[in-house]
Amino acid sequence: MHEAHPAFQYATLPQQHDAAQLGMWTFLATEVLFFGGLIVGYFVYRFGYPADFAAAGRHTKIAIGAINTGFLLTSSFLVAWAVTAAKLDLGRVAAWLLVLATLLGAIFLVLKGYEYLQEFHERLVPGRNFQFDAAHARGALLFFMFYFAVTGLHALHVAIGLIVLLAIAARARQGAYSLQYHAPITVAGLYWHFVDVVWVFLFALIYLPGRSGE
Amino acid sequence: MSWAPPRRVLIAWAALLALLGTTIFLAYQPLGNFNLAIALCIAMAKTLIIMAVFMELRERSGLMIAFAAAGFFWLSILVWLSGTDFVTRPQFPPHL
Repeated sequence: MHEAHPAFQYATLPQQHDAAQLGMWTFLATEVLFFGGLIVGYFVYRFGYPADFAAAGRHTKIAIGAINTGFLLTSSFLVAWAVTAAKLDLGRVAAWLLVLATLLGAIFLVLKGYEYLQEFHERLVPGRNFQFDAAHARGALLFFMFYFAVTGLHALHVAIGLIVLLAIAARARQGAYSLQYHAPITVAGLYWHFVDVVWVFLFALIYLPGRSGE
Repeated sequence: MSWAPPRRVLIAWAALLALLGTTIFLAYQPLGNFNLAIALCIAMAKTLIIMAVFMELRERSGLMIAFAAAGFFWLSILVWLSGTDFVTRPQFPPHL
């Protein structure tokens, strides 16, 4: 275990950690507004076309959506566990937990791709082959535009997260993190948990409308 | 077992999965407009658990929590002002 020192512009390691975390939270604030803006657009059109959004929501694959939500929540749990393990100098445990979390994230993307394929076959892709019953077509088109845009952007965030987690896992395996020095794994964890939070809201807005019949 | 997951992290995980099951079950109950309200409340509860436990905000200073809350504060302004616009329009969506 090498002794950790703060970078030259910081007086102490805790100060360096606070700066790193404040930086990540500032970035996440911009991400909240990025996804939040899209979600506000969703609410505007859901308010305008409530019946169409319910009809469109019933066409989403709730089984895949629910399983994927479980996988993302679990991978977030594994990352939170990995951060605590890294602080206990358990670098190899942390690395394995991060690899497991990455695996769940990868399965999430595969299932998402399978879902896209099914929606393509059901002619639900706007601008490509969109067909919907005429009474609800206008709002459903807006719903599926939102759906593909926002889940696509979310999937991009997941893909970036997978690369970050693997890079952090490699460093953790070498014993780079400890109780004194753990800013990179903590900050990477914040990003991954945020991607999870975004999905929690997307799940509620995409898969749940219209399930009660009406 | 020093490598075992901390209790609070384990409990948070179980609570998140329980909330996921709850929100799916309630989505199938015919509750009218309450379906959306319940789904959003459960999503917010999940978010608070993730932020407090997984993101360790409960152990952080007020300054850090203010940074974490800032994005949501600005988003609430966006929701509020957009909402007052669209809800008060005489004709929305427009007829084409």
